[in-house]
Amino acid sequence: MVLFVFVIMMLNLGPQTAQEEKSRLNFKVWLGPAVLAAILIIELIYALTKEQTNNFEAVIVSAKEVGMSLFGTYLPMVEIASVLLLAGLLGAYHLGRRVSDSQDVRKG
Amino acid sequence: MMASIPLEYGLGLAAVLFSLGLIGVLVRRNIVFILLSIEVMLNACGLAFVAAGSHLKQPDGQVMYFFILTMAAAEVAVGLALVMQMYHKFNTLDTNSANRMRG
Amino acid sequence: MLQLLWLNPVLPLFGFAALVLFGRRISNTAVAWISAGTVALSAVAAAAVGIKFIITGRESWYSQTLWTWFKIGDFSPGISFYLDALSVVMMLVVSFVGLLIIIYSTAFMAGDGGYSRFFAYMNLFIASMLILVLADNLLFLYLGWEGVGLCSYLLIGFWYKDYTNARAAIKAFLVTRIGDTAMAVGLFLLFASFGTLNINSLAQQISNQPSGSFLMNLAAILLLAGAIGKSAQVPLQVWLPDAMAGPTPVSALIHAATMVTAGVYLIARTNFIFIHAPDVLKAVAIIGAVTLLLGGFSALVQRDIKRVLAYSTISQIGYMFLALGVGAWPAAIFHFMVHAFFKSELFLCAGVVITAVKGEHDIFKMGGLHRKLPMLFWAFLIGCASLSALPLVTAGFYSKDLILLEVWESQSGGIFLWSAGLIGALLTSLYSFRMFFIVFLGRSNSHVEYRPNFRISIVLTILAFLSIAGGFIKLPFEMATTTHTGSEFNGAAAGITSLAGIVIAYLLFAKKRFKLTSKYSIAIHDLCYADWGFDRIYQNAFVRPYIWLANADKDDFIDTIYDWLEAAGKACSRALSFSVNGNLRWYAAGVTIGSIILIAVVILL
Repeated sequence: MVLFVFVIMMLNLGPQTAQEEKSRLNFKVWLGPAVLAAILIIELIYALTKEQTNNFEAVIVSAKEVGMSLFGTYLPMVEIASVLLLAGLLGAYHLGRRVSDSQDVRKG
Repeated sequence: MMASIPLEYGLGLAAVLFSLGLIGVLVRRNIVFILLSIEVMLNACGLAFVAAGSHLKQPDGQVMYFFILTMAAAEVAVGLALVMQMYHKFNTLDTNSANRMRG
Repeated sequence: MLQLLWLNPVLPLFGFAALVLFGRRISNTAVAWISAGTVALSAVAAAAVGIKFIITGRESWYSQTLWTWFKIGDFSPGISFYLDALSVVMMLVVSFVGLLIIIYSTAFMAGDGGYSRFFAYMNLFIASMLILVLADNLLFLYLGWEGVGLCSYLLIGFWYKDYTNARAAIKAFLVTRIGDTAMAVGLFLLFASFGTLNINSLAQQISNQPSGSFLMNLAAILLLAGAIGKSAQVPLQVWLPDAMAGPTPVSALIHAATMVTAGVYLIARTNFIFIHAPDVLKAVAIIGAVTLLLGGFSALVQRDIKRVLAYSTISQIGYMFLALGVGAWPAAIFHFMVHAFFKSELFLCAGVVITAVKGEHDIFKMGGLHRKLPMLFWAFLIGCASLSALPLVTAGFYSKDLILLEVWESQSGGIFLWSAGLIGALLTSLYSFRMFFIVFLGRSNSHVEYRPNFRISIVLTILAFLSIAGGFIKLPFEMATTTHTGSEFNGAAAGITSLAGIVIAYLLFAKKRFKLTSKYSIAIHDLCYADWGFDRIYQNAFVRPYIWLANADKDDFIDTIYDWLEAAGKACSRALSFSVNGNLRWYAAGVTIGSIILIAVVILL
């Protein structure tokens, strides 16, 4: 989330942008999405209340158990997540370059 | 000891959060706001996972949230890089201006 | 040795396949070697088979079956070749004249962009023609028949980028198609009546038939129609003069020596049918007589050197039909053989002449070439002399004299056909020496500096020699000797006629050119020039109404179905293109709607 703050700082989006955004949020714009979201909520809640489940005890799962699971059963997935972060890093670096820089580079 | 909360409440909260995020994606025109709404949606999904995992007394739900968070971070990084490029190209963050791939 | 028979048609086919697959990628020399090589090997095989067949002479025919083509019910024609006296002659002539013309073309067509394409088509043509003459059953013959028609179309329209050539090719194909269709119906009729298309079986079955029955007449007429189409006789002769749009070796091979004689071969091969239909046979003779006169008159007034030769071909094949019509099968085939020699030589000489004057076809614009091209002078002279049947020296004299003798002596001949033949002989020498004198004597109109290639000279020399000496070859027919001239009156008449034609041509055309003055003679001149109006009649009677009908039917109701289909497609495309407007939130909304529908489906089911 800090990235958002960085981007907003870099692009110098001041209160003027917020003002623009607000001016565009008239009722007509809200209507369609509201309808769609309403339908979605109704569907989901209907699906949830259709079946009566037993009231289980809400057990707090301790962090120790989570850690053991992460480094035990799900270890490969942790590795893959690290690879994903690496890919994200490289993608963000490459995509964030300025256009004038990329014209001097021969290989993509 | 916490009072037992029925599963439906937890999942219902996740559903409502998801819909709110969805409304945000559909309504907003500034692309940074759209990305923020997508973050909200992702977190709603994670909440659903955690609630389910807590009910089944397994740590898998929290593990899943772990990975969702990882993925969200990567996606935000790439997405914000694209936002920067878009700003340099169009000089505005309005999504309506990036409509050259018209049918 | 006779087992080598199958090599004869198949070797050029191999050459064709090789040139089709690799012709573009190999050099011109390699193309020439492949093409000429396969045809040469095929000619060697033909020579071996022919010599063995003629020398042993014990059996009168030989048949070799490669495999059964197909088997439907009781009908199982085979890919089989049949050798008897008739097909030996045809095979030898086609193979050797074809070889000579291909050697000529390797020098003539050098520098043309479609070199490999030309030789591929020529190989296919020679293979098809050999299949035609060697076929054992009429279905296989029809395969060769169609094959030569196809190659004729491909080769006439060889320089297809010029639209007139393409139109000439289409015209040739369409007109011969009319004949081909009639012939196909004739084959159906024969099969339906006798259950087989094998020539030997048909001959045996038909020999028990009464002659003059309706079935025989109908079958003979249909086969005759096919022969007329392919051999350019009246009334289907209109395609041959326009077919001169193709390269000269094509005109020499296809439209002088081989393809146009396929009709003659057909009638000679199925002579048992025609013998049993004597009225149709008489019609054959009459058609032959009319055609030879029409060809002669038209050739007399043409200006294009190749068109003169084209009409001359029509006329000479008329002689062959005349001979067939009176039952003189050997005479017709003998004339075919000699005609192949001198007509292809004349065409090849014409090709050299046209190249020498840089593409000029009009004979009145050439002249005085006898000093510039001496070898061609002699070659052309020998060819014209043989065409005019110069007495005792040339082979043409013996063949034409034999035909006239047979016509005179046959019962159905009569004096009319004989005089038609004699007038035709006069016309022949008249137009051929008119062409010769105008092109080669007199003042030269154009600047010529051209020496024919060595290969071209060799081929022309060989053909010139054959035009003279071909008359002395003994043929394995029931002809006694070929120097037999029958009654002296006939021989003298024929000789005097041809000499008279030469003298008249010399007087009229060598020294000065006279102009037609009276309106009457100009009208006749124009009529002869336009092939006695056949082209115009066909254009107005058939072509124009058909084009009008096709235009009137342009927007009929079936078209509206397809137009509606097209409009519906366009409307759907316009409607769906609303959903692709590049707006990001629009797409997100689409995803939402989709997920709603999916969840609804999952919930409700």
